[in-house]
This record gives sequence, structure tokens and C-alpha cells, in this order.
Amino acid sequence: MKKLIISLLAVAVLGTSCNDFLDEMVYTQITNDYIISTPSGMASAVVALYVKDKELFRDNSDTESTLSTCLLIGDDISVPRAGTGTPQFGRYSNMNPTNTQVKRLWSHLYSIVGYANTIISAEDKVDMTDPVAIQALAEAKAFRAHAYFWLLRKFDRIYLNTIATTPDNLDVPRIYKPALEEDVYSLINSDLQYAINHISWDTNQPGRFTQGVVRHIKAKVAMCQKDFGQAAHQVDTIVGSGRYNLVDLSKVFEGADLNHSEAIFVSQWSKGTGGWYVSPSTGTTSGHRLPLHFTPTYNMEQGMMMTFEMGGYPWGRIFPNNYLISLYEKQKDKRYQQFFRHYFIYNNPDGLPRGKKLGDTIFATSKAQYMNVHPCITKYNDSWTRLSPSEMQSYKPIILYRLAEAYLMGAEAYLEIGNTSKALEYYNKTWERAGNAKYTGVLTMNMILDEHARELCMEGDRWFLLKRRGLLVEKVRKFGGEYLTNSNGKVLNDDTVARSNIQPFHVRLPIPQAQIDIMGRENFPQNDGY
Amino acid sequence: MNTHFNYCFIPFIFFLWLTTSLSAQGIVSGIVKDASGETIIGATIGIKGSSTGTITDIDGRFSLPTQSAQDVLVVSYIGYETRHLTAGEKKFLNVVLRESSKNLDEVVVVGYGTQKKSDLTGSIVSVKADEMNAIPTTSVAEMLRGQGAGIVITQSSARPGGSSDIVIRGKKSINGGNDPLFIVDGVPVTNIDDFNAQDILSVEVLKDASAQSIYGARASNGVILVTTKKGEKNKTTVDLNAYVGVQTLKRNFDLYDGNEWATLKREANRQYPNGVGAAGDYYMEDESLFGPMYQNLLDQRFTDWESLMVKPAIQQKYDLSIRSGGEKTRLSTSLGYFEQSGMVQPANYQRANFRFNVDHQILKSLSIGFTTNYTYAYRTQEDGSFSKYITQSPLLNPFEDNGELKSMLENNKWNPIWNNQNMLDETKTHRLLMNFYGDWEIVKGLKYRLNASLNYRNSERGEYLNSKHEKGSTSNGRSGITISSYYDYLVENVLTYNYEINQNNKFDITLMQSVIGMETNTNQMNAYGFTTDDLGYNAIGFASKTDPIKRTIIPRNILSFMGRARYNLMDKYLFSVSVRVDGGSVFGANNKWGVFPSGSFAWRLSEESFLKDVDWMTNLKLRASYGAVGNQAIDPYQSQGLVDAYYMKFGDNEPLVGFLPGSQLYNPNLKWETTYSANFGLDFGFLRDRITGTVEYYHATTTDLLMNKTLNETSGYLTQLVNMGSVLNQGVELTLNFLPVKAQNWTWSIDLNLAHNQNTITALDGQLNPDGSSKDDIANSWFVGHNIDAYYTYKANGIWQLGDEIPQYENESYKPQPGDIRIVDKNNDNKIDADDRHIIDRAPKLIGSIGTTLKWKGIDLSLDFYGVYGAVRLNSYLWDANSGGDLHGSLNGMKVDYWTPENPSNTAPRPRDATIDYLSSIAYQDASYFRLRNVSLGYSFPKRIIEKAKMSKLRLYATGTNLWTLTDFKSYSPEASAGAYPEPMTFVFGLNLSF
Repeated sequence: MKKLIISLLAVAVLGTSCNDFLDEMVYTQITNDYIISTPSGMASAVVALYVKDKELFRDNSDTESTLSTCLLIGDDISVPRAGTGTPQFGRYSNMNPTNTQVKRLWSHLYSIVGYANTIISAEDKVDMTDPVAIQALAEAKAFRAHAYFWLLRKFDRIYLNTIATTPDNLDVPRIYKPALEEDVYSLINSDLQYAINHISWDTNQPGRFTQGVVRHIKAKVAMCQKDFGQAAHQVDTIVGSGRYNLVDLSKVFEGADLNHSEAIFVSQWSKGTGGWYVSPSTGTTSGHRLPLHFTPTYNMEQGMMMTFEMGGYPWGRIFPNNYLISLYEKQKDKRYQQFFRHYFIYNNPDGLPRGKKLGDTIFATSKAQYMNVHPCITKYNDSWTRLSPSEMQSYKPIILYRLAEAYLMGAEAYLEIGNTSKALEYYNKTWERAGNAKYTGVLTMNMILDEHARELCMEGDRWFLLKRRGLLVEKVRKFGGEYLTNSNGKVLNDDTVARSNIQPFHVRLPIPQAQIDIMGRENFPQNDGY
Repeated sequence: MNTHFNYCFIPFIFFLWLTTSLSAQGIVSGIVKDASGETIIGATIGIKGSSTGTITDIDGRFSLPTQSAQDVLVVSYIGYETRHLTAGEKKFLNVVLRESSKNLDEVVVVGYGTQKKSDLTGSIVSVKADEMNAIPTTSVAEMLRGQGAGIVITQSSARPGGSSDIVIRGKKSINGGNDPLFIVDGVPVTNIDDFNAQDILSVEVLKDASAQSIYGARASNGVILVTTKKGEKNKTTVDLNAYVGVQTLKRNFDLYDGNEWATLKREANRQYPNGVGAAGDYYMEDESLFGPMYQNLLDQRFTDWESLMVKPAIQQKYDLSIRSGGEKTRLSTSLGYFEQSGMVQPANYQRANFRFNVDHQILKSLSIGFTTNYTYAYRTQEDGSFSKYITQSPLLNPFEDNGELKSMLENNKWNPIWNNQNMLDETKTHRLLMNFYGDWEIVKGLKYRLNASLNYRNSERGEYLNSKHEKGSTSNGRSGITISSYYDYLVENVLTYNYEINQNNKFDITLMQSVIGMETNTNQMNAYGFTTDDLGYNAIGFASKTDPIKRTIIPRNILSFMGRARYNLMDKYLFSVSVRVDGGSVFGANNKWGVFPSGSFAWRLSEESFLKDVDWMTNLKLRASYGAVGNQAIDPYQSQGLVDAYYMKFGDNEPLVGFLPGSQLYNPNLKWETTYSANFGLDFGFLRDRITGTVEYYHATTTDLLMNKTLNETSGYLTQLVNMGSVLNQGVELTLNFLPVKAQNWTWSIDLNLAHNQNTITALDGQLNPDGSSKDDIANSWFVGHNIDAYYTYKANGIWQLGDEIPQYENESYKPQPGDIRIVDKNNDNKIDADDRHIIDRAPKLIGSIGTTLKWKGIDLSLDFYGVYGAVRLNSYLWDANSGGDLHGSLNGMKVDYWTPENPSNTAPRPRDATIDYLSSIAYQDASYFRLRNVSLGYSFPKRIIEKAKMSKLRLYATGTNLWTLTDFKSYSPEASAGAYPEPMTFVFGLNLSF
């Protein structure tokens, strides 16, 4: 017995004292090294970056997709009703540096920049003759350029970071000075140029950066820099590539797969692994909620029930305003019907109000009722990825850039250059597709702005367009929000605070307060006005 | 789906008491009684210098053969002073035993051994099971509540099977965790929640560094030593305990009733086209405002959601334990069953415990022991958060006119009752703890102990949301199964040497070496698309779609060495020094080993000649200690850069997998946090220990604090875990026990403890402001000179009233109107901005409890009060939209006196259908409370009656828990946050039976 105990003691002391026992073993995860030291690692990191990019529509802490919808309002053609961020972004009321959406946007974009920097830093360790590595590097640069382009347009005052953050360089003291606009553009353009040089036009994986996508972004950047020759060149190249065509108007937003020939860049969503959003903290899966935002709460009306035809589950948060509606020639322009629902009809035999029958149109008699049946945009409607109209999550892909926008940029650029025939040619592309007669008269910038509204409303470019043309404040003061009465003079909507609230400093967002606190306001002052 | 144990009743086992009597020449017999005249059963009577002995029977009587009249009888019984008496010529002895002044002779478990209480040099609270078990509680942690100064128990979730947080002497860590280390019979365990409180003999809480430092890198949050019941030599005991109770919900606020809620909604949508207070305001028409709810308003058909969803629920516990022993072998076994039903169905928790322990003496110098402990727990949960069940509008009706349950309510939100009936969320946990130990006395005074244990836990959580549930309907049912297993092993070698040089010089040395290995293995799978709901999540094998399986393995190893020496000089001066060295796998490669030394000293003043004869003073002892302990409770892999997997599907292609790091940057230099603490204590006992107590002061500085440092987001990362900063905890603790009455038929005792802890951040990451002061971490609300838990927020000063001159702030877009919150412009710059925020410390300033027990013959009555003073909490019910606090009139919530032009309230702002600026600033409330935590009334049947049924104890009792609370904090509980499952008021009826 004594021997046994002594040998047990010996085994316990000697057998385990070696330091290996204290090495932390990793069994089920991959290390950082992989993504920055091998071509396949770089490529896998780029794949993950596409997933990260989708967080804009479904941030982990935001279950309602409000970050993305906040970026669709605050222009001259929309009127918000309610929702987180709506007063600040939609009505310019109390927008301040502690706003949650502002913070989310900032950290989302900088996280893309940070991951892209990490992948780009692999350049020094990986054999860069490997085509896999070149493709990954080009896509990472496209991501970085795209994120900085967003940051610059939304915040103006930003910090330019091009170095991958590691534990070693984290504590190297830095002075956080705002970057010069030209330095940011110079980085964006060199990143885009690398991508243009190395990314193919074609991919069998729709949703990835292609040369078409990068050139489209390059054109947008050139428009902001007022380099209209460059913009026109990029649009011509996209058009001349033969890869893109306008599709039938009814097909642009139809279906669970929007990777059609008009689409240039599409955020990929589907119900299932790789298609939906997975919360990193809880593991729960979800889609986005864009259809809910754009559909009024018609089902709050007596005699109405939820159907796909009416738009499915509604939150009714963002509507087209009467100014946008007024821009269409109702009889001729097919977009007036295709992109909107203008009225709702009774569809529930139970609970019909007295004197009404199925199929009757609902005419609002009060503001509250009008808000339930407000004309609405149907671009985001989704009856394809949802099992029932009451399903609150949508897995419909989201078109970020499409050929129609490229044409309109082309029209604007050529008009600026003075090549009116080329401008007219591009202008007529969307105008004629909508069923209008070919326009041959004198083209003005205002016509292009109106066509942009008619074609691309609620797709996210309006605010940027007005900002870069210096028209944001003027247009919002004139048309922002909505004031509307019915034929009896009863007020149906009275939401025009955006017109009186908007100030010149609202063309940019405030820098998140927490970040100012970290960087030091003496180095990195808040944007003026906030 | 299948309910376990519902009909499982623990059978009554009657145990026959056997007595044997010896017959011999020259017999002396007698009776043993205590000072109050009660007979003592089981007292030991031996003859000095002989192996002959016996114990008293159920009547307190004994008889013993003697050799001669000079034989000295030794009569002893635990807790009583041992008496030596000569039988002489008497044939019948009346022996009266006096209670020992037990506080001093009591043996206390101190870790790697025991010590007489009088020899203690560190700060240790010892709680005996009898005191703790007087209150029927749901967990071991709740049992400790109020039992010692400086031990703060907070219920993190009062749901069935929920757990409580234990914080000893203030929070010392921000990210390293603040859970103490639990050691059960020498075996470290990570979780004490599923132990059966009935198996516990005593609990010792190590509070200062000198007591803790023998546990080194895991001890800085305090160590709780749990000793379980074992069999005793030559004695058999059978205990049967049972209680049944009912839990009910209470709150100290009102919810809006139907009409009040309608009024709130009308006010929230009231239009003020010309500004608030100006003429021209109007209400919206009810019909369009209430829409589909309008009919219910017209019919005055309101729903009381709270009473529909939350119902009184049963709680019950049954325990049987048998302990028995002979000369060489002792054993102890127990069975326990506990059930707590949820006040919200189908929340439920059931637990069965089995325990077996045997000790055997092989040789005179060698003994071994083995313990096995098995627990099975079954828990079901309700759907969604608790808030959902109370915040529905009273104008919504969950039922159709024909009484059928609706799936959607009038406002097109899903019916929470419907969702709750179409889901299952259950967790089954098996736990097995095995412990082997061998003791070998190599030579006199030199002992070796081998302690080895294996702890295994397996749990499976299955969730199923069927095709009718809100979330299941989108994919024809969805299920998730999480299977996790955990094991740890411990091999520990302990060598102790006791040596008594002479009466005045005694010392002992302990050397310890141990190896601990742990591993957690988790597999998680989700599936969608079920053809039938019948099998629930068990049909996961034929679901049409599955997520990739998630698998994680997390190992964790610890190597330790420890040495301790104690020296006792003349029973007056006591010294102790120790050092522990710990190596941990979780730390960065450059920082694997930590060294934790400590020393302490105690001076028993009452043993000094100048005090020895002071009659009224029984005990006076001064203690001082200083030492270092560590905290390594961070998650593994934080020092290594690892990446997570992401799946991306491009078009119709198969999903691709990609890898990226998370938002936290890794840190290869991570190490343990170290707490250096000094402790000064004074123990006293006066008037034959009628008054005893302890006063202590401590000062503990924790350095190298593990903090999630907020990074500049332009780096691409949000945070990094770093060792930075330090926290100071200092405080005073007072424990007082009075025994005002102790007479034959009645006793009265009062126990009081009070603790004040001041928690202060003393340094952060070392960055300085231009003026040289330390830079605060505003993003995390960490401020030097304030609590770890602090709020940083705007301060409200009532509500702007009509006629007030409201300042025209320079803010472009903040223009308050009457009915808005009056925010304090702290720096008077005529602008409300980030500089106007205030720091609010959250931690309580004083925590205390006072308990009293009154016993009269068989009747016992005890009252237990518990109080927290000076805590601040943000009350979600006053501002959070999901808790119904936003004053939008969209959910129901806590009724407040909100402002309208007609009601110039100064407590809550004007309701509106939009975000109310700075609303949360009115929601910071004083969360102090004083609570009658427990009232217990019991009756023990007189022995002469129960003896006939061979019983030694029969007590019936009734207990009420959380009956009365005095607080300004409006909620279901001043401890629970809104949305969490609130703690119930419980009435319990039970019995204790012993044979």
C-alpha cells in the first residue's frame, strides 16, 4: 500500500510538472495566422467579409433593420411615419452625437475597413503571384474603398487608417487627425484601380465584386469628385461590356433571385445557411425587415386582413411623399403602377364597415386612417421567401446598384461635359423603358434629378445625389415630408418639420460621441453644428 | 413533453432503533441531562484508560460495567463540556453536562485541514447547516443570504432553476468574473446550484487574503468551503424533511387598466399644432386611433394580462438521509427531490439528488474514503421574456368570441399565450461527482493525504417551436439541440506535519501539490422544416434543412504548489504564513505562472494574565493579515488570435465558409488579476458568550484588472481584453450575536450583521488628461474614484411646466416644450450636450441583516430581515419601450403620473407617439430596500410523545418568505431587472422528522 501511494505521488508530481500541460490547446477553431499567411486563407476571409457587409441590414443589436432604413430617408421624396432613428434621420430633429444609428454606421464601416486592412496586410507574407491571392487582395481593396467612400460621404470628417491592427501596433501612439478629403479619395481611387486591373467582369458567384461593380463605384466616386469625364468613361465601359441590360420593368424587383442582367451589385439573402443573418452572440438566424418598413399598417383598418397582395406584414414606417407621386405622368409612366400601391381595397369579409363591400377602395377621412392606407413603395415587397404574409423576416435579396443608376450617372456626366446627345441617349434608357415616348428636346439637370427620383426612389442614392449636387438643404426645405388634404379640405398628413429643421450642417452626420471621447476632441473635433 | 417525477414520492422509511445492553459485574448506571433538565441521547460514557464504553439511550440512560470504584467515567457529548467523575460507591449517577462555550472549541474548516476557532488568524465566516436550513430556500446560494457580514447574494434570475450571484466583499473584477471558488469536501467545483442543501454540514466563507491565498490564482473573489454530512461512529440517524409551498407574485406599482390605458394612448396621440399649451390642440378620433381595438374599447372588454399569464405555483422538497457508523466504517447516504413550478407556465424545475459516502479505517494509520454524488435536473422554460406577459394592451383580447385562443392579437402582434402553448424548451442535466481520499499517518504527526476527484456533467437542451409558433411558422417548425459535457479531474497530494515542541510551542506545516484538468465540449445543432410536430425536437433527424453543426472544445489546465506554516506560541500568539504558486493554461505564453504569498497574526488578548481573570470577558482576539490572491476567471483563448466561421451563399451556389476574427482583438500578454488585501479583525465574547461578535476592517487593492478596453473603432476592432487599472475595495464589517435569554423553557437570540463596502476604481489604462488627472473611460462608464458599476447620464429635475421660462438652448434641434423633462444644464453653457452628464454610483453603501429566534418549550419563532441601502438602479419600467415605459401608449406598463396641460405633474413627461428626449434620466431610482425575508413558526413535539413512535425529533413548521418589502423602487423586485423572472413571495409548510 505504501508503495502504491508513493508511486502515485511520484506520478502526480513528475508526470505533470512539465510546461506542456499549461499550453492552451485549440481543437475547434482556426487561428488568425491562416487568413494572413495563405492564399486560401485570404480568400476565405474575403468570403466572410461579404457576410459582415450584410450586417448593415441586420446589425446584431438592431432587430429591425433600422440602420439601413435610416439611410433611405431624409430626402425630398419620402415621408417617414415612425421608427427608431426616424426623427433624427427623417425629420432632422435632435440628431446628435449619441444617436445609436450613427454609432452603428460608423463602427460597421470601420469594421469593414479593419478587416480589409487585415487581408491586405497579407500581401507581405503571401506569394502574390498566386491568382487566388491576387483575387482576394483585389476584393479586399474594393471593400476598403467602398467603405471609405461611404464614410467620407456620410461623415466628411474621418480618420484614414490603412494599417492592419495587431496587438503589437495597437499601443503605438497615434494622433487622430481628420484626414484630408484628397487623401481619402486618393486611397479610394488607387484601391479601385487595383481592383479594376485584377477583377474579372464575370463570376459564377453573383453578389461578388466584379469589374462591373468596381467600375460602377468608380463612376460614383468620380461624380462626387466632379470628374465627369472619368465618370462618363466608366459608364461607357460598363455599358460597352455587354454584360448588362435593362430588364422588363416588372422583373426588376420580382422574385427570390434578383441577380438578373440589370443588377450590378446585389446583397445576397436567402432562407438557409449562408443566406440569412446569424447573430454572433446568440446564434439565432434572421432575415431583414425591409418589406415591413415600406408597407403601411393597412390591416389596422376594419375589413382588412394581411395578404401578400397588400404587402404582407406591415410596419408602415417610410412612405413616398406626394411630391414624388406628382413627378410621374400617371397614365403613361408604367413605374407609377409598377413601383407603388396607391390605394387599398377591402379584402376581409369579416368586420367590413357598414355600407362597404369587398373590393371597395378605402378612402381615408382622417390622418390616422390615411397613415394606414398611405401610398407606398412596393420595390421591397416579398411574397417569395416568406411562407406566410404574417412572417416578419424577409430573405429577399437587396439591389444595391443597377444599370439604371449607371445610365442616369452617364446622362448627368455627359450633360456636365456638354455632350447633350450622349446625355439624351442615356436619359432615354430608363425613360423609354417606363413606357414614355422618346425625349428629344433640351435636357436639363432638373429633368435628370426628377428621372432619378422616378426610377431610383427609396433605393438609397437620393440623399447622396442631392448632397453632391449641393441641393440637399434646398430640396428638403421645399419638398421634405408631406402636407396633404383630401377633397374636403381635411388634413390627411401634416409632417413637414424636416423642412424647417434641416440646416446646412445636416449634409453630414455627427461623429459618434464615444469615438470623439476616445480620440480626444482636441485632435478630432466634432463636425460643426453638432 | 414528458414530465418527470410528477408522481414520485419519497417513501417513508421507518427505522428501528436498536439498543444493546451489556451485563457485567459491578455495573454503574445513570442518566445524562443538560442544564435545562432535558435528557441527552447519544452521550458517550467511557472509562478512562479502558476501551469499555457506551452511549446513552433514548431516555438519556446508560449502564456500564466497572472494574473498581476508582474508575473514572468520562462523559462527553458534542457541544458540551466533557465531565470526568468517579463512580465511587454510587450505583446510579445523575450527570449534568454544561454546554461548552462552543465558539472557541468549535472546529472550523480552513482549507487543507481544519483549525480550532480559537486558533484562527484569518477572516472566516462559519455557518452551520442548522442555521441555514431553518429557511426553506431554492439553492445553496440563497441559503447563505444574510448569514455573514460581507457576503452579498443577489438573485440573477428567480426563475425555477435560476441562480444567484454571490459577491464577497465587493466586486473586484470587471471582466474576470466575481464568482467565488467553491470547494466541496476538498474538491473545487464550478457550480454549487445543483447541490442539495440538506447534505451540507457546514459552510465556511474565506474572506481575507490570508485565508484565501492557499487557493491562489482562483481565490480573489473569496472561497466557499462546503463540508458535507458524514456518518458518525457508533450512531445511527435517519432524517426526513419535507415541505410544500406556494409562490405568488407581488409588485408595488399599478398597471394601467383598460380605460386608463386608452386615456394614455389618446394623450400620446394628442395634437398640438400651435405648440404645447397653446390653443388649438385636439385629440384624434378614437375609431382610427384604436383601429381593431376600438370594438373592445366600446364594449369595455378589457383583459388583465398579468393575472392571465402569471399564476400561483407550487414548490416542494423532500429529503431522506441516513447516517450510520461502526468502529471502523461509517457511511452516509441521502436522497432528495425538489420541484419548483413556474408562476408562468410551463416554466418548471425538478431536481433529484443522490449521495453516498463511506469512510473506512484499513489500518490504524491508514484510512480511505469515497463519496459519490449524483444529481439529475430537469428544467423547462416559458417562451420569450417575462415583460411580454404583462405589457400587452388591456384592449387586446387573446381569445376569439367562441373562446378559442387567437394566434394574433388585434394589433397584429403574436399572442404570447399562443406562442407559449406551441413551444417546448427543456434542459436535462446529469451530474456525477466522485471523490476518493486516502489518509496515511507515516509517522506520528506526519500525515499524507491523497485527494482525487472526477466531476462529470452532461446537459442537453432541446427547443422546439412548432409550425404554429410565431418563429416556427416561418419554416414549418424549428428545433435546436445543444449537448454539452464537462469534466474535470483533480489529483492532489497533501503532506502535513504537526509538532508540539512543548505546551507553549506548537507548529504545523502543510505542503500541497495539485493538478487540475478541465474540458468543456459543446455540440449545437439547429434544424427546420418538420413534416409533423408530434415528435418535437427529437425528429431533428428528418428535418428538411439543417444548419452546420457548431462544435467547441475548451480545455483548461491548472498546476499548483502550496506551502503553509503555522506557529502557536503559548496559545496567545498565533502566526501563519503561506505561499501558493499557480500555473494556468488560459494565460498568455509569457505569463504562465503566478505566486501568491500571505501572512497573518493573531493575539488572544483574553489569554493574557491581565485579562484572564476578567470575568465578564470570555474571549478577545486581535487579528491582522496581509496577502495576495489571484483571479483567472477569464474565458479561454483570449490570448490567442482565433477566427470565427461565417457562411456565405452567392446566388444559387452552395454556401461557402469564410473566416474572420471577431470584434475583440486578442492579447498575447494576458495574465491573472491580483488582489492585495489587508485585514484587521477583533473577535470578542462577553458575559459567558451571551454577547459575541466580530469587527473587521479590510483594504483590498486589485491590480492588473482584466478589462475590455474600448478601442478606437477606426482600428477595425471594438475592444481588447487587457490587464489594466486597479480597483480598491475597503470596508467595515460587524457581526453581533446576542443571547438575552437562555433558560430552561425558553431562549431568545438575536443575530445581526452589517457590512459597508466602498468600491472605487483607482486607475484605468494609465492615459492622462492634459491636466494630469487619470483619463476616464466614458464609453464603458468607468471613472476613477467611482464604483465599477456606475451610470453616466443626464440628470432630470422635474418637468417643464406651462408658464415656465424654458431656456432656448443653443442645440439646433433640442427645443423642450412644456411637459418635457427638465434636464440639468450642468455646466451652464446653455446647451444640453455630453458634458452635462453626471456619474451615479450604483453599488449599495450598506448591506445588513438582522434575525431573531425565540424558543419556548417546543415552539420556535424566527424572523429574518434583510436590508440594502444606497443602491441605485435604472428602472426599465419607467423608460424602456419593450418594458412598456416609453409613454407611447403602445404597450401597457407601470402607471405613472404623466404630464398633460391639465395635470401639471412633475414626475413623468407628456406622453407622445415619438421618442421622448432624455426619458431614461427620470428612471434612475434608489433601489434601497428593507425586507422581511423570512418568518418561520415551528412546533417540535415533546420527546415523551414521539418516543413512543421511536422518533427523536418531530417538528412542524410554516414559513413565509419575502412577505414584506419597504422600498421606493417600483417593480416586482428591487433586485431583478424588468423582463427578468421576478422573485416570488412564498408560503411553505413543512416537517422535520428524525429517528
